[in-house]
Amino acid sequence: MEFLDTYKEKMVPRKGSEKDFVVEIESISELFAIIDSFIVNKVRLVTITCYPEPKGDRLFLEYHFTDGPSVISLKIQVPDDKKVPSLTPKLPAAGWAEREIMDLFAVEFEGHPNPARLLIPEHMERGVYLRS
Amino acid sequence: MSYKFPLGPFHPSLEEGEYFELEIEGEVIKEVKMRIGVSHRGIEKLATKKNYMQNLGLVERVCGICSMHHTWAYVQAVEKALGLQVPERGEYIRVIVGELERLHSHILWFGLGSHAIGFDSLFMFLFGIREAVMDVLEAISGNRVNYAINTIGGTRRDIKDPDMILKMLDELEKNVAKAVDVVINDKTFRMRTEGVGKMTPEQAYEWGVLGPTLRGTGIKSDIRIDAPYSVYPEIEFEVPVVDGGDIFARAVVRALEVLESIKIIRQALKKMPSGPYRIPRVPPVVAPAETIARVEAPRGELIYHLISNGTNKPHRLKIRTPTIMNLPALAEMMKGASIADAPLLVLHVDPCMSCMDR
Repeated sequence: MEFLDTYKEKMVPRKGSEKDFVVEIESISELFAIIDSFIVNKVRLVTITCYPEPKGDRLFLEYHFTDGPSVISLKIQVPDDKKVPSLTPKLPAAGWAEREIMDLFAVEFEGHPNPARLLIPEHMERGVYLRS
Repeated sequence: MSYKFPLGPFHPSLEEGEYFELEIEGEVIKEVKMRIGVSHRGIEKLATKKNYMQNLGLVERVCGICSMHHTWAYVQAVEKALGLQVPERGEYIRVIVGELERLHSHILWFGLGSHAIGFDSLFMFLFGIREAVMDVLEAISGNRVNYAINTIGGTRRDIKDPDMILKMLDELEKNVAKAVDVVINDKTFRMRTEGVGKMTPEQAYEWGVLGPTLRGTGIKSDIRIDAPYSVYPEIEFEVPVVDGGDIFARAVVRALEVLESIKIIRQALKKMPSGPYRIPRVPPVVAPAETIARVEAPRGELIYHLISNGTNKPHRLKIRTPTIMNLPALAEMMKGASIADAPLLVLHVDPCMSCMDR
Protein backbone atom coordinates (compact mmCIF):
# COMPACT_ATOMS: atom_id res chain seq x y z
CA MET A 1 0.00 0.00 0.00
CA GLU A 2 1.21 3.52 -0.85
CA PHE A 3 -0.07 4.72 2.48
CA LEU A 4 2.36 2.56 4.38
CA ASP A 5 5.39 4.26 2.77
CA THR A 6 4.33 7.89 3.35
CA TYR A 7 3.32 7.38 6.95
CA LYS A 8 5.98 4.93 8.07
CA GLU A 9 7.40 7.18 10.84
CA LYS A 10 3.96 8.05 12.20
CA MET A 11 2.70 4.48 12.48
CA VAL A 12 2.85 3.26 16.07
CA PRO A 13 2.36 -0.50 16.55
CA ARG A 14 -0.24 -1.49 19.11
CA LYS A 15 0.69 -3.33 22.25
CA GLY A 16 0.53 -7.08 21.79
CA SER A 17 -0.06 -7.04 18.03
CA GLU A 18 2.76 -5.93 15.80
CA LYS A 19 0.56 -5.82 12.69
CA ASP A 20 -1.96 -3.30 14.06
CA PHE A 21 -1.02 0.39 13.91
CA VAL A 22 -2.25 3.71 15.24
CA VAL A 23 -1.62 6.85 13.19
CA GLU A 24 -2.23 10.22 14.81
CA ILE A 25 -3.72 12.63 12.28
CA GLU A 26 -3.51 16.42 12.71
CA SER A 27 -6.28 17.75 10.48
CA ILE A 28 -9.58 16.52 9.12
CA SER A 29 -8.56 17.26 5.51
CA GLU A 30 -5.55 14.98 5.96
CA LEU A 31 -7.79 12.28 7.43
CA PHE A 32 -10.15 12.40 4.47
CA ALA A 33 -7.25 12.35 1.99
CA ILE A 34 -6.00 9.11 3.56
CA ILE A 35 -9.49 7.61 3.61
CA ASP A 36 -9.84 8.46 -0.11
CA SER A 37 -6.74 6.41 -0.86
CA PHE A 38 -8.15 3.60 1.30
CA ILE A 39 -11.39 3.59 -0.68
CA VAL A 40 -9.45 3.36 -3.97
CA ASN A 41 -7.41 0.44 -2.60
CA LYS A 42 -10.53 -1.27 -1.17
CA VAL A 43 -9.27 -1.13 2.40
CA ARG A 44 -12.35 -2.03 4.43
CA LEU A 45 -13.79 0.16 7.18
CA VAL A 46 -14.03 -1.84 10.41
CA THR A 47 -15.63 0.69 12.72
CA ILE A 48 -15.20 4.06 14.38
CA THR A 49 -14.43 4.26 18.10
CA CYS A 50 -15.11 7.42 20.08
CA TYR A 51 -13.64 7.85 23.55
CA PRO A 52 -12.82 10.57 26.04
CA GLU A 53 -9.14 10.75 26.96
CA PRO A 54 -8.35 8.88 30.22
CA LYS A 55 -7.50 12.13 32.05
CA GLY A 56 -9.30 15.17 30.71
CA ASP A 57 -12.36 16.07 28.69
CA ARG A 58 -11.10 15.92 25.13
CA LEU A 59 -12.83 13.42 22.82
CA PHE A 60 -10.98 11.31 20.28
CA LEU A 61 -12.14 9.40 17.22
CA GLU A 62 -10.38 6.35 15.84
CA TYR A 63 -11.28 5.23 12.34
CA HIS A 64 -10.26 1.58 12.07
CA PHE A 65 -9.53 0.22 8.61
CA THR A 66 -8.31 -3.22 7.63
CA ASP A 67 -6.65 -4.72 4.56
CA GLY A 68 -6.94 -8.21 6.05
CA PRO A 69 -3.83 -8.89 8.16
CA SER A 70 -3.56 -5.52 9.90
CA VAL A 71 -5.88 -2.96 11.43
CA ILE A 72 -4.82 0.65 10.79
CA SER A 73 -6.44 3.11 13.19
CA LEU A 74 -6.53 6.78 12.22
CA LYS A 75 -6.73 8.78 15.44
CA ILE A 76 -7.99 12.35 15.46
CA GLN A 77 -9.08 14.75 18.16
CA VAL A 78 -12.68 15.95 17.98
CA PRO A 79 -12.73 19.78 17.57
CA ASP A 80 -14.12 21.87 20.44
CA ASP A 81 -17.41 22.55 18.62
CA LYS A 82 -17.84 18.73 18.35
CA LYS A 83 -18.48 18.92 14.61
CA VAL A 84 -16.79 16.48 12.21
CA PRO A 85 -17.63 16.03 8.52
CA SER A 86 -19.45 12.77 7.80
CA LEU A 87 -17.77 9.91 5.97
CA THR A 88 -21.06 8.26 5.03
CA PRO A 89 -21.60 10.00 1.64
CA LYS A 90 -18.29 8.46 0.52
CA LEU A 91 -18.55 5.15 2.32
CA PRO A 92 -22.02 3.92 3.39
CA ALA A 93 -20.42 1.45 5.84
CA ALA A 94 -19.73 4.38 8.20
CA GLY A 95 -23.44 5.28 8.43
CA TRP A 96 -24.48 3.42 11.55
CA ALA A 97 -21.11 3.80 13.28
CA GLU A 98 -21.47 7.60 13.01
CA ARG A 99 -25.09 7.58 14.13
CA GLU A 100 -24.08 5.52 17.16
CA ILE A 101 -21.37 8.03 18.11
CA MET A 102 -23.88 10.88 17.66
CA ASP A 103 -26.20 9.12 20.15
CA LEU A 104 -23.61 8.08 22.70
CA PHE A 105 -21.09 10.94 22.63
CA ALA A 106 -23.04 13.82 21.06
CA VAL A 107 -20.48 14.38 18.31
CA GLU A 108 -22.16 15.89 15.26
CA PHE A 109 -21.30 14.41 11.86
CA GLU A 110 -22.04 17.15 9.34
CA GLY A 111 -23.55 16.05 6.05
CA HIS A 112 -24.79 12.68 7.29
CA PRO A 113 -27.61 11.57 4.96
CA ASN A 114 -29.77 10.23 7.81
CA PRO A 115 -28.76 11.74 11.18
CA ALA A 116 -31.73 10.26 13.10
CA ARG A 117 -31.22 8.60 16.46
CA LEU A 118 -30.11 4.98 16.16
CA LEU A 119 -29.83 3.35 19.58
CA ILE A 120 -31.63 5.74 21.92
CA PRO A 121 -35.31 6.84 21.87
CA GLU A 122 -36.31 9.94 19.86
CA HIS A 123 -36.98 12.10 22.91
CA MET A 124 -33.72 11.30 24.69
CA GLU A 125 -30.92 13.83 24.82
CA ARG A 126 -27.77 12.86 22.96
CA GLY A 127 -24.50 11.99 24.68
CA VAL A 128 -25.70 9.22 27.01
CA TYR A 129 -22.20 7.77 27.53
CA LEU A 130 -20.79 11.14 28.59
CA ARG A 131 -22.87 11.11 31.76
CA SER A 132 -21.50 9.15 34.67
CA MET B 1 -49.34 3.60 -5.03
CA SER B 2 -47.12 2.43 -2.20
CA TYR B 3 -48.01 1.62 1.37
CA LYS B 4 -46.05 0.93 4.52
CA PHE B 5 -45.77 -2.48 6.13
CA PRO B 6 -44.43 -2.65 9.68
CA LEU B 7 -42.28 -5.74 10.32
CA GLY B 8 -41.56 -5.70 14.03
CA PRO B 9 -40.59 -4.61 16.63
CA PHE B 10 -42.28 -7.84 17.68
CA HIS B 11 -43.34 -10.07 14.84
CA PRO B 12 -43.81 -13.87 14.62
CA SER B 13 -41.21 -14.12 11.86
CA LEU B 14 -38.50 -12.28 13.82
CA GLU B 15 -36.44 -14.08 16.43
CA GLU B 16 -35.58 -10.87 18.29
CA GLY B 17 -37.21 -7.46 18.48
CA GLU B 18 -36.21 -4.85 15.91
CA TYR B 19 -38.30 -2.57 13.72
CA PHE B 20 -38.30 -2.79 9.91
CA GLU B 21 -40.57 -0.47 7.97
CA LEU B 22 -41.09 -1.83 4.46
CA GLU B 23 -42.42 0.44 1.74
CA ILE B 24 -44.31 -1.75 -0.67
CA GLU B 25 -45.69 -1.33 -4.16
CA GLY B 26 -47.91 -4.30 -4.95
CA GLU B 27 -45.80 -7.13 -3.58
CA VAL B 28 -42.40 -5.56 -4.26
CA ILE B 29 -40.32 -3.97 -1.52
CA LYS B 30 -39.23 -0.49 -2.62
CA GLU B 31 -37.59 0.92 0.51
CA VAL B 32 -36.59 -0.42 3.91
CA LYS B 33 -36.19 1.68 7.02
CA MET B 34 -34.68 0.14 10.12
CA ARG B 35 -34.99 1.29 13.69
CA ILE B 36 -32.69 -0.53 16.07
CA GLY B 37 -31.92 -0.15 19.76
CA VAL B 38 -34.85 -2.19 21.10
CA SER B 39 -32.50 -4.12 23.38
CA HIS B 40 -29.84 -1.46 23.96
CA ARG B 41 -28.45 -2.21 27.42
CA GLY B 42 -25.49 0.17 27.56
CA ILE B 43 -23.02 -2.70 27.92
CA GLU B 44 -20.04 -0.63 26.73
CA LYS B 45 -20.68 1.91 29.47
CA LEU B 46 -21.41 -0.75 32.08
CA ALA B 47 -18.05 -2.39 31.25
CA THR B 48 -16.24 0.71 32.50
CA LYS B 49 -17.90 0.31 35.92
CA LYS B 50 -16.84 -3.30 36.52
CA ASN B 51 -13.40 -4.82 36.97
CA TYR B 52 -11.70 -6.98 34.37
CA MET B 53 -12.87 -10.29 35.86
CA GLN B 54 -16.47 -9.12 36.34
CA ASN B 55 -16.52 -7.97 32.73
CA LEU B 56 -16.06 -11.59 31.60
CA GLY B 57 -19.58 -12.31 32.78
CA LEU B 58 -20.85 -9.13 31.17
CA VAL B 59 -19.40 -9.60 27.67
CA GLU B 60 -20.51 -13.25 27.77
CA ARG B 61 -24.06 -11.88 27.78
CA VAL B 62 -23.72 -9.53 24.81
CA CYS B 63 -24.86 -12.42 22.65
CA GLY B 64 -26.65 -15.66 23.41
CA ILE B 65 -25.42 -17.66 20.43
CA CYS B 66 -21.80 -16.51 19.96
CA SER B 67 -21.12 -15.80 23.64
CA MET B 68 -17.83 -17.71 23.59
CA HIS B 69 -16.44 -15.57 20.77
CA HIS B 70 -17.27 -12.39 22.70
CA THR B 71 -15.29 -13.49 25.73
CA TRP B 72 -12.56 -14.78 23.42
CA ALA B 73 -12.09 -11.37 21.83
CA TYR B 74 -12.30 -9.70 25.24
CA VAL B 75 -9.70 -11.93 26.92
CA GLN B 76 -7.40 -11.54 23.93
CA ALA B 77 -7.57 -7.75 24.27
CA VAL B 78 -6.85 -7.95 28.02
CA GLU B 79 -4.07 -10.52 27.57
CA LYS B 80 -2.40 -8.28 24.98
CA ALA B 81 -2.57 -5.32 27.37
CA LEU B 82 -1.11 -7.43 30.19
CA GLY B 83 1.43 -9.15 27.94
CA LEU B 84 0.30 -12.63 29.00
CA GLN B 85 1.12 -15.83 27.17
CA VAL B 86 -1.70 -18.36 27.42
CA PRO B 87 -0.68 -22.05 27.91
CA GLU B 88 -0.97 -23.98 24.67
CA ARG B 89 -3.59 -26.41 25.98
CA GLY B 90 -5.76 -23.45 26.92
CA GLU B 91 -5.57 -22.12 23.35
CA TYR B 92 -6.56 -25.53 21.95
CA ILE B 93 -9.54 -25.73 24.30
CA ARG B 94 -10.62 -22.28 23.11
CA VAL B 95 -10.40 -23.35 19.47
CA ILE B 96 -12.40 -26.53 20.14
CA VAL B 97 -15.18 -24.73 22.05
CA GLY B 98 -15.16 -21.88 19.50
CA GLU B 99 -15.64 -24.29 16.62
CA LEU B 100 -18.33 -26.22 18.51
CA GLU B 101 -20.09 -22.88 18.85
CA ARG B 102 -19.77 -22.26 15.11
CA LEU B 103 -21.25 -25.72 14.48
CA HIS B 104 -24.34 -25.16 16.59
CA SER B 105 -24.77 -21.57 15.37
CA HIS B 106 -24.68 -22.55 11.69
CA ILE B 107 -27.00 -25.54 12.22
CA LEU B 108 -29.38 -23.21 14.09
CA TRP B 109 -29.25 -20.81 11.13
CA PHE B 110 -30.11 -23.63 8.72
CA GLY B 111 -32.97 -24.70 10.94
CA LEU B 112 -34.45 -21.23 11.19
CA GLY B 113 -33.89 -20.62 7.47
CA SER B 114 -35.72 -23.79 6.49
CA HIS B 115 -38.52 -22.89 8.91
CA ALA B 116 -38.80 -19.46 7.23
CA ILE B 117 -39.30 -21.05 3.81
CA GLY B 118 -41.83 -23.49 5.26
CA PHE B 119 -39.58 -26.57 5.11
CA ASP B 120 -40.44 -27.72 8.60
CA SER B 121 -39.29 -31.35 8.33
CA LEU B 122 -35.72 -30.12 7.63
CA PHE B 123 -36.08 -27.66 10.52
CA MET B 124 -36.98 -30.49 12.92
CA PHE B 125 -34.17 -32.71 11.65
CA LEU B 126 -31.54 -29.94 12.01
CA PHE B 127 -32.64 -28.93 15.49
CA GLY B 128 -32.46 -32.62 16.41
CA ILE B 129 -28.85 -33.00 15.28
CA ARG B 130 -27.92 -29.67 16.88
CA GLU B 131 -28.81 -31.12 20.27
CA ALA B 132 -25.81 -33.46 20.04
CA VAL B 133 -23.50 -30.41 19.85
CA MET B 134 -25.32 -28.74 22.73
CA ASP B 135 -24.93 -31.87 24.85
CA VAL B 136 -21.17 -31.86 24.25
CA LEU B 137 -20.94 -28.17 25.15
CA GLU B 138 -22.90 -28.88 28.31
CA ALA B 139 -20.60 -31.78 29.18
CA ILE B 140 -17.50 -29.56 28.73
CA SER B 141 -18.69 -26.38 30.42
CA GLY B 142 -21.80 -27.26 32.39
CA ASN B 143 -23.89 -24.77 30.39
CA ARG B 144 -25.89 -24.90 27.20
CA VAL B 145 -25.78 -21.21 26.34
CA ASN B 146 -23.28 -18.99 28.16
CA TYR B 147 -20.44 -21.50 28.54
CA ALA B 148 -18.15 -19.21 30.59
CA ILE B 149 -15.19 -21.19 29.26
CA ASN B 150 -12.74 -18.29 28.84
CA THR B 151 -10.90 -16.49 31.56
CA ILE B 152 -8.02 -14.05 31.43
CA GLY B 153 -4.96 -16.24 30.93
CA GLY B 154 -6.60 -19.45 29.74
CA THR B 155 -9.82 -21.38 30.13
CA ARG B 156 -11.88 -22.15 33.21
CA ARG B 157 -12.35 -25.83 32.42
CA ASP B 158 -10.35 -28.64 30.87
CA ILE B 159 -11.54 -31.08 28.20
CA LYS B 160 -11.36 -34.37 30.03
CA ASP B 161 -13.07 -36.71 27.61
CA PRO B 162 -12.00 -36.09 23.98
CA ASP B 163 -13.51 -39.43 22.86
CA MET B 164 -17.00 -38.17 23.63
CA ILE B 165 -16.48 -35.24 21.25
CA LEU B 166 -15.01 -37.49 18.52
CA LYS B 167 -17.96 -39.87 18.79
CA MET B 168 -20.42 -36.97 18.48
CA LEU B 169 -18.51 -35.58 15.47
CA ASP B 170 -18.69 -38.92 13.58
CA GLU B 171 -22.45 -39.05 14.07
CA LEU B 172 -22.88 -35.34 13.28
CA GLU B 173 -20.85 -35.55 10.08
CA LYS B 174 -23.19 -38.23 8.68
CA ASN B 175 -26.26 -36.22 9.63
CA VAL B 176 -24.88 -32.94 8.29
CA ALA B 177 -24.01 -34.66 5.00
CA LYS B 178 -27.69 -35.63 4.68
CA ALA B 179 -28.79 -32.04 5.38
CA VAL B 180 -26.22 -30.57 2.96
CA ASP B 181 -27.50 -32.92 0.27
CA VAL B 182 -31.03 -31.58 0.82
CA VAL B 183 -29.88 -27.94 0.85
CA ILE B 184 -27.93 -28.24 -2.41
CA ASN B 185 -30.24 -30.54 -4.36
CA ASP B 186 -33.75 -29.84 -3.12
CA LYS B 187 -35.79 -28.01 -5.73
CA THR B 188 -37.98 -26.11 -3.25
CA PHE B 189 -34.98 -24.84 -1.29
CA ARG B 190 -33.24 -23.65 -4.46
CA MET B 191 -36.37 -21.96 -5.81
CA ARG B 192 -36.81 -19.96 -2.63
CA THR B 193 -33.15 -18.93 -2.26
CA GLU B 194 -31.58 -18.59 -5.71
CA GLY B 195 -31.44 -15.03 -7.01
CA VAL B 196 -32.93 -13.61 -3.77
CA GLY B 197 -30.97 -11.03 -1.78
CA LYS B 198 -28.46 -10.29 -4.54
CA MET B 199 -25.31 -8.38 -3.62
CA THR B 200 -22.26 -7.61 -5.78
CA PRO B 201 -18.68 -7.67 -4.38
CA GLU B 202 -18.50 -3.86 -4.89
CA GLN B 203 -21.63 -3.31 -2.79
CA ALA B 204 -20.26 -5.70 -0.18
CA TYR B 205 -17.13 -3.55 0.14
CA GLU B 206 -19.09 -0.29 0.33
CA TRP B 207 -21.30 -1.56 3.12
CA GLY B 208 -18.52 -3.40 4.93
CA VAL B 209 -20.36 -6.74 4.87
CA LEU B 210 -18.74 -9.53 6.91
CA GLY B 211 -18.58 -13.25 7.50
CA PRO B 212 -20.48 -15.86 5.50
CA THR B 213 -22.58 -13.06 3.96
CA LEU B 214 -19.37 -11.65 2.43
CA ARG B 215 -17.90 -15.02 1.49
CA GLY B 216 -21.14 -15.77 -0.37
CA THR B 217 -20.32 -12.90 -2.77
CA GLY B 218 -17.01 -14.49 -3.76
CA ILE B 219 -14.65 -12.52 -1.52
CA LYS B 220 -12.27 -14.55 0.63
CA SER B 221 -12.12 -12.89 4.02
CA ASP B 222 -11.72 -14.77 7.28
CA ILE B 223 -9.85 -13.52 10.34
CA ARG B 224 -8.73 -17.08 11.13
CA ILE B 225 -6.66 -16.97 7.89
CA ASP B 226 -6.05 -13.22 7.37
CA ALA B 227 -4.83 -12.35 10.86
CA PRO B 228 -4.43 -15.74 12.56
CA TYR B 229 -4.98 -15.79 16.31
CA SER B 230 -4.74 -18.52 18.95
CA VAL B 231 -3.50 -21.83 17.45
CA TYR B 232 -5.26 -21.51 14.08
CA PRO B 233 -1.89 -21.33 12.24
CA GLU B 234 -1.21 -24.90 13.44
CA ILE B 235 -4.43 -26.24 11.95
CA GLU B 236 -5.14 -26.99 8.31
CA PHE B 237 -8.51 -25.92 7.01
CA GLU B 238 -10.16 -24.30 4.02
CA VAL B 239 -12.23 -21.13 3.90
CA PRO B 240 -15.19 -21.85 1.62
CA VAL B 241 -15.97 -19.08 -0.85
CA VAL B 242 -18.92 -19.23 -3.25
CA ASP B 243 -19.75 -16.80 -6.07
CA GLY B 244 -23.35 -15.85 -6.63
CA GLY B 245 -24.09 -13.29 -3.95
CA ASP B 246 -27.57 -14.65 -3.21
CA ILE B 247 -29.06 -16.51 -0.26
CA PHE B 248 -28.29 -19.86 -1.86
CA ALA B 249 -24.57 -19.02 -2.13
CA ARG B 250 -24.47 -18.01 1.54
CA ALA B 251 -26.27 -21.21 2.52
CA VAL B 252 -23.64 -23.27 0.67
CA VAL B 253 -20.85 -21.30 2.40
CA ARG B 254 -22.34 -22.08 5.79
CA ALA B 255 -22.89 -25.74 4.92
CA LEU B 256 -19.24 -26.14 3.89
CA GLU B 257 -18.10 -24.24 7.00
CA VAL B 258 -19.89 -26.77 9.20
CA LEU B 259 -17.84 -29.54 7.59
CA GLU B 260 -14.62 -27.49 7.98
CA SER B 261 -15.38 -26.91 11.66
CA ILE B 262 -15.69 -30.65 12.18
CA LYS B 263 -12.25 -31.04 10.55
CA ILE B 264 -10.76 -28.34 12.79
CA ILE B 265 -12.10 -29.89 16.01
CA ARG B 266 -10.73 -33.34 15.05
CA GLN B 267 -7.26 -31.89 14.37
CA ALA B 268 -7.28 -29.76 17.52
CA LEU B 269 -8.23 -32.75 19.68
CA LYS B 270 -5.37 -34.75 18.16
CA LYS B 271 -2.77 -31.97 18.55
CA MET B 272 -3.84 -30.75 22.00
CA PRO B 273 -0.83 -31.07 24.32
CA SER B 274 -1.09 -32.03 27.96
CA GLY B 275 -0.17 -29.57 30.68
CA PRO B 276 -1.73 -26.53 32.31
CA TYR B 277 -4.64 -24.79 30.59
CA ARG B 278 -4.60 -21.50 32.48
CA ILE B 279 -2.29 -19.12 34.27
CA PRO B 280 -3.01 -19.48 37.99
CA ARG B 281 -2.59 -15.81 38.93
CA VAL B 282 -3.43 -12.79 36.81
CA PRO B 283 -2.69 -9.19 37.88
CA PRO B 284 -5.94 -7.31 38.60
CA VAL B 285 -4.61 -3.93 37.42
CA VAL B 286 -3.89 -3.21 33.75
CA ALA B 287 -1.31 -0.54 32.84
CA PRO B 288 -2.40 2.16 30.35
CA ALA B 289 -2.59 0.58 26.89
CA GLU B 290 -4.76 0.47 23.80
CA THR B 291 -5.31 -2.94 22.32
CA ILE B 292 -7.40 -4.44 19.57
CA ALA B 293 -8.52 -8.05 19.31
CA ARG B 294 -10.31 -9.64 16.39
CA VAL B 295 -11.90 -13.07 16.14
CA GLU B 296 -13.99 -14.73 13.46
CA ALA B 297 -17.37 -15.26 15.12
CA PRO B 298 -19.94 -17.45 13.34
CA ARG B 299 -21.46 -14.27 11.85
CA GLY B 300 -18.19 -12.61 10.83
CA GLU B 301 -15.39 -10.50 12.18
CA LEU B 302 -15.86 -9.44 15.80
CA ILE B 303 -13.60 -6.70 17.13
CA TYR B 304 -12.92 -5.46 20.65
CA HIS B 305 -11.07 -2.19 21.25
CA LEU B 306 -9.87 -1.89 24.84
CA ILE B 307 -8.44 1.26 26.41
CA SER B 308 -7.02 0.71 29.88
CA ASN B 309 -6.02 3.47 32.29
CA GLY B 310 -3.88 1.80 34.96
CA THR B 311 -6.79 0.83 37.24
CA ASN B 312 -8.68 -2.45 37.64
CA LYS B 313 -11.48 -1.21 35.35
CA PRO B 314 -11.34 -0.52 31.61
CA HIS B 315 -11.49 3.12 30.52
CA ARG B 316 -13.38 2.24 27.35
CA LEU B 317 -14.44 -1.03 25.79
CA LYS B 318 -15.70 -0.73 22.23
CA ILE B 319 -17.52 -3.76 20.86
CA ARG B 320 -18.19 -3.99 17.14
CA THR B 321 -20.34 -6.99 16.31
CA PRO B 322 -20.72 -8.34 12.76
CA THR B 323 -24.48 -7.72 12.64
CA ILE B 324 -24.16 -3.93 12.88
CA MET B 325 -22.29 -4.04 9.55
CA ASN B 326 -24.51 -6.65 7.88
CA LEU B 327 -27.90 -5.17 8.76
CA PRO B 328 -27.63 -1.82 6.90
CA ALA B 329 -26.47 -3.81 3.88
CA LEU B 330 -29.58 -5.96 4.21
CA ALA B 331 -31.71 -2.89 3.41
CA GLU B 332 -29.97 -2.83 0.01
CA MET B 333 -30.48 -6.57 -0.54
CA MET B 334 -34.19 -6.31 0.30
CA LYS B 335 -34.95 -3.67 -2.32
CA GLY B 336 -36.81 -5.24 -5.22
CA ALA B 337 -37.56 -8.49 -3.39
CA SER B 338 -41.05 -9.84 -2.78
CA ILE B 339 -42.76 -9.19 0.55
CA ALA B 340 -43.11 -12.97 0.99
CA ASP B 341 -39.30 -13.25 1.09
CA ALA B 342 -38.89 -10.55 3.76
CA PRO B 343 -38.71 -12.90 6.80
CA LEU B 344 -36.21 -15.14 5.00
CA LEU B 345 -34.13 -12.12 3.94
CA VAL B 346 -33.97 -10.80 7.49
CA LEU B 347 -33.03 -14.24 8.81
CA HIS B 348 -30.45 -15.03 6.16
CA VAL B 349 -27.78 -12.57 7.40
CA ASP B 350 -28.03 -14.47 10.72
CA PRO B 351 -28.88 -11.27 12.57
CA CYS B 352 -28.09 -11.11 16.24
CA MET B 353 -30.11 -8.09 17.29
CA SER B 354 -29.15 -7.96 20.96
CA CYS B 355 -25.52 -8.37 19.94
CA MET B 356 -25.87 -5.36 17.67
CA ASP B 357 -27.68 -3.14 20.20
CA ARG B 358 -25.35 -4.06 23.09
